[in-house]
Amino acid sequence: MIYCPKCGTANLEDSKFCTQCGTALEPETGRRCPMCGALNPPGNVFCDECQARLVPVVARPTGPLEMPAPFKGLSLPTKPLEEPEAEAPAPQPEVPEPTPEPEPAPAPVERELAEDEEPDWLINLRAKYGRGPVEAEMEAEPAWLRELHEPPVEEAEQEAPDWLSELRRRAEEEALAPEEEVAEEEEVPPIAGVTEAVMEREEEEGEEAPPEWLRAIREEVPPEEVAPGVEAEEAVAEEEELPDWIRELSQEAVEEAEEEVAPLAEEEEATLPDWLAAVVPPAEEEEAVLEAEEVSPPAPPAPEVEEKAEEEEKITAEAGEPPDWLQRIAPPEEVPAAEVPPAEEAEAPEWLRTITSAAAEPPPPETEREAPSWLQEISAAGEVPVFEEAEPAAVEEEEAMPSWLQELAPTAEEGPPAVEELLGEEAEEGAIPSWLQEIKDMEPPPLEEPAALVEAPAPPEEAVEEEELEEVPPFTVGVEKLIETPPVPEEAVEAGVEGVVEEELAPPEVEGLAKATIPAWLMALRPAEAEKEPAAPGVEEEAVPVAMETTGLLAGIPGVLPAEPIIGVPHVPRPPAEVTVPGELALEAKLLGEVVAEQRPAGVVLPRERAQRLARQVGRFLLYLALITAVLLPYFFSTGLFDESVPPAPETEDFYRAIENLEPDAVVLVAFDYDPSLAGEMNLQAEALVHHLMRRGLKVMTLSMYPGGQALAEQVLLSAAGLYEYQAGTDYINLGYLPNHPASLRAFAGMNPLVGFSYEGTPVQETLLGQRISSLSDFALIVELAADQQTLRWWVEQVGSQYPNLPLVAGISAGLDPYVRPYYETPGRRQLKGLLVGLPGAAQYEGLTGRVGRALDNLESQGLAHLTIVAAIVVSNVVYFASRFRKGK
Amino acid sequence: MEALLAPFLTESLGLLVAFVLTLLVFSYLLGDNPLFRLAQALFVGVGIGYGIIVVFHYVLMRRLSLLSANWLLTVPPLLLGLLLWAKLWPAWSKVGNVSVAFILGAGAALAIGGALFGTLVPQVRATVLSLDPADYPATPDSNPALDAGIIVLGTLCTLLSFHFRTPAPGQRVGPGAALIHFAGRLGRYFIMISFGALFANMVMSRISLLLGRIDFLLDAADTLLTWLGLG
Repeated sequence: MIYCPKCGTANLEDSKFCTQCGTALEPETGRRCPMCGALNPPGNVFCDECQARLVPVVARPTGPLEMPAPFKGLSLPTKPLEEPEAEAPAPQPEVPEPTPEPEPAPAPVERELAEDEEPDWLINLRAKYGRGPVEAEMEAEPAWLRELHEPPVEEAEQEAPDWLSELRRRAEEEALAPEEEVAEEEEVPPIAGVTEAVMEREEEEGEEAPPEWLRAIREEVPPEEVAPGVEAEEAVAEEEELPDWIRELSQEAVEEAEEEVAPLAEEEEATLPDWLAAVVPPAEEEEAVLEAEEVSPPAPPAPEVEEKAEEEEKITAEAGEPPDWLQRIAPPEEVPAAEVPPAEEAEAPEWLRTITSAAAEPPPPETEREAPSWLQEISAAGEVPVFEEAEPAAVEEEEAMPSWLQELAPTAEEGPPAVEELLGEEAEEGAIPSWLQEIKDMEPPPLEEPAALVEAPAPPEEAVEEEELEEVPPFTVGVEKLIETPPVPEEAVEAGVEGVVEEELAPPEVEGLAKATIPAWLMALRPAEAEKEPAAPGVEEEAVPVAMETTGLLAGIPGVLPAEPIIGVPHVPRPPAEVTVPGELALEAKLLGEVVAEQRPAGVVLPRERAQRLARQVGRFLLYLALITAVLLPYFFSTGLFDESVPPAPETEDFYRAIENLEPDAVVLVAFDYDPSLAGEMNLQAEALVHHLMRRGLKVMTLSMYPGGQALAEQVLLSAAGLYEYQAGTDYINLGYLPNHPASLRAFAGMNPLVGFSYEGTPVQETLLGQRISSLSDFALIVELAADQQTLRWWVEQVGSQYPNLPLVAGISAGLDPYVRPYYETPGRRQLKGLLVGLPGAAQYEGLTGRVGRALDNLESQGLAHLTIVAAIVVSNVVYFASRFRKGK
Repeated sequence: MEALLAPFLTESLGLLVAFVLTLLVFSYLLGDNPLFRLAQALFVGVGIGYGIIVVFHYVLMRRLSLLSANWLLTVPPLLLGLLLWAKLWPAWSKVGNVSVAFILGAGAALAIGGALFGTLVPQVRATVLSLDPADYPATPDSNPALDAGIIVLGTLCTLLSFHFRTPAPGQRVGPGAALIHFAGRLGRYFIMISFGALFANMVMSRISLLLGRIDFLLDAADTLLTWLGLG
């Protein structure tokens, strides 16, 4: 919610005007980081993103704050107490004094707040200068008009108080005129207090919310009447309230502007002052401004404009003309703004016409030409409010750039194009940017302007550099009023401001603020595009569209963050740098490339390569031959190396014992979890096992988790059943296939009663053996014949853990031994009660059972094959190390 | 003629085909050749066909016949099974995700629970061994306490072998780091021995398979020669 500063109505977040009173609502402002472009809250001093400083460092004055400022020309619009009558408010004879209207009584709360915040000296001063009626009329101004007055004060407070501190310091140095000491002491405290207040305010801004005085301005607290009797110490002490006079200064600027613009207003418009007409431009002009600068001032409603015009007329009447002393030092040649070329008048709004008229004026006297434009602008009091009110104009906002921002300022072509067009400036202004040129051309005030103000800040040089002109902070607009009222000798003023301007315009000399430089390593990381044309910024800048900041501290400043369009464009990788290769290396590289690219013709085999290939083939063939010979040799005659008296391994004995310990007629479940590819190894165990079971009279039920396993089980069962007269369904049942998934095994383990079909298709519950099994625990032993680690683990995990008292033994392929043995080696309660490992295990098992089967027959072949492999390994290693030893020699 | 062909068709023809295919596979010892590829393609095709037949007859039909008695129990698995067919059409594939999710969820739950209580906990407990010989019965052929010590030492060293640390140049290595480094190197030897055992057992298994094939070839050759009257 945004609360209207005038009527307090709650408006939506995005509202630009109050829904009740139409007051323009201040948009949420922020500070744009000049380094990374991030938008920070208004109170930030350092960027949230990159920690860059958002607020310029302000040099704290070294001298005592009580030191009087010697230059009266730039001091507060006060006058010494000794000469109250002479210095008094300088009534304007030409303009009839308006009848003092009773000041409209503001809301009681506001009144109290304003009285609390303003110091006595300021109130006294206001009373002394008789500003009451004017301020009363200013209070009557609509909110949007007051807002136009106020921003410069805020900007002045925020952006460049350092020059004020410089002014104060210079004033301390210039404290010489003894005859003015008394008067200066009376005058300086305000300026000293102001500068200190501004500086301290500047330091505190980053950490605190907008100060109270600023809030007061935003809340449009009506200024109080000035009361006489001001003490310097009070001004220093009440820092929080001091900026009020700046607000008053802005109001005075309005008055002065009215004075100057009044003739123009009379000529062109009977009721509406020129600057006010510029603030409220016609619809067409406003659209033009929008198109040109993409920033538009809040357009007040038409009725309010008329009211403002009437009020401004009153103000103009009150303000009148400058005092005599000001007229005496006024510039000799003054060209009214009406001399602006008609073409420009037709295109530009009034406020821009005012600017152009200033630019089109003939060169002012020496003092004017020598003075920096910002000081000339100070003297051009009438245009100050115009600039302030022309808020969207880039001119004003660029003037507001502090020095550190001016270092980032764009080059000539980056100026606001709209202003360039309106001013009719040519592109060939040289290296000076158009916006800077515009400031430069902002010649002295067109109308009756106190000459002292123009002369006072004039530096000794003939012309001021453009870079220095950029240093001008905007809040000088408000200070101009400070300068104009007190009658100060011109010599003192010149002497006082001269050095100030010089020092203030030299950025490196500002304490704590060094000129930013790009380090070498960062320069090296610049993209290739930036390195190509580093010395031609003007040409390069044209290619990159200049973006104007619309929000934050840099609002209205074009080209300050030119990286954005560059970042938006996809970066083209830098082409690899051309490497100059010496001639010899290039020739060698070329030859190497040719050799590599050259392919051997098909069918061409080098003799050496052919010999190596033949040797490898012969070696492989010999190894095969040796292995086949070792395997087949026992089939023809026995070597006697591996007889049947091989002692059985402990796991084999446990396996055998697990079966031997079973009660006769017990039911044993045998899982044939292998497929035909491993049947050559696993069938040896299965055959020995089934023969052992049937020989002992145990009932056998088989299943398999492999589609081919059930057929292998059936084959083994049939081959043994004939020997032991076992009957299917009565003595043995092949349960067939069990899907290969732990869920199916878990379901089988939980099956109660055991249901299903035999391999032949007979329902299990219809068989005698099947009727004996109602659950898995009815089995006396489970034998897992596994050629796969996974199926055995499922049996151990899904069945063994569920039925810990159900003994589980396994016959495995030799390759699974390292994986499965831990289940057998488990101390205490073994997860596998016995284990058969490969063909040797089967042979040992047959040896234990006393039945000579194929396992024992193949054991010798297996042993000989192992010996052959070991011999091959040994020979290969000997040859390898011998070759290494030979190469080593 | 029929009496002559009947045993041939039932036994000897199959034996002959298996014999020939086994020789075709062994032809790979001489290098890749079309005969080996023919046997390979036949094996893959016959294996898939046989698997489909087994699943259809021994799983689907039999389970359906079992569940028909209580048809309410048939509905959920049938529904989930039918939803899986939706995977054939991309537009409806999401419908099949329900069945896939059920399968994966149930499988994962079973696998995790079984691995935790069937393998992880018992095997971790198995490595917590006493090194006191008094806790083991005295056996003349083996030393259980020494075995336990080797198991403990091998487990710790194997774990430490996965501790990768390299001191910076010039950094002095402390005694603790040196001990860890030494244990890690020792653990690598344990791992090498384990890999050697795996390889040796795998070679043993494949030699057994070779023997099985040679047995088959010899038996088949004997049978064929007998059938042909040459044996």
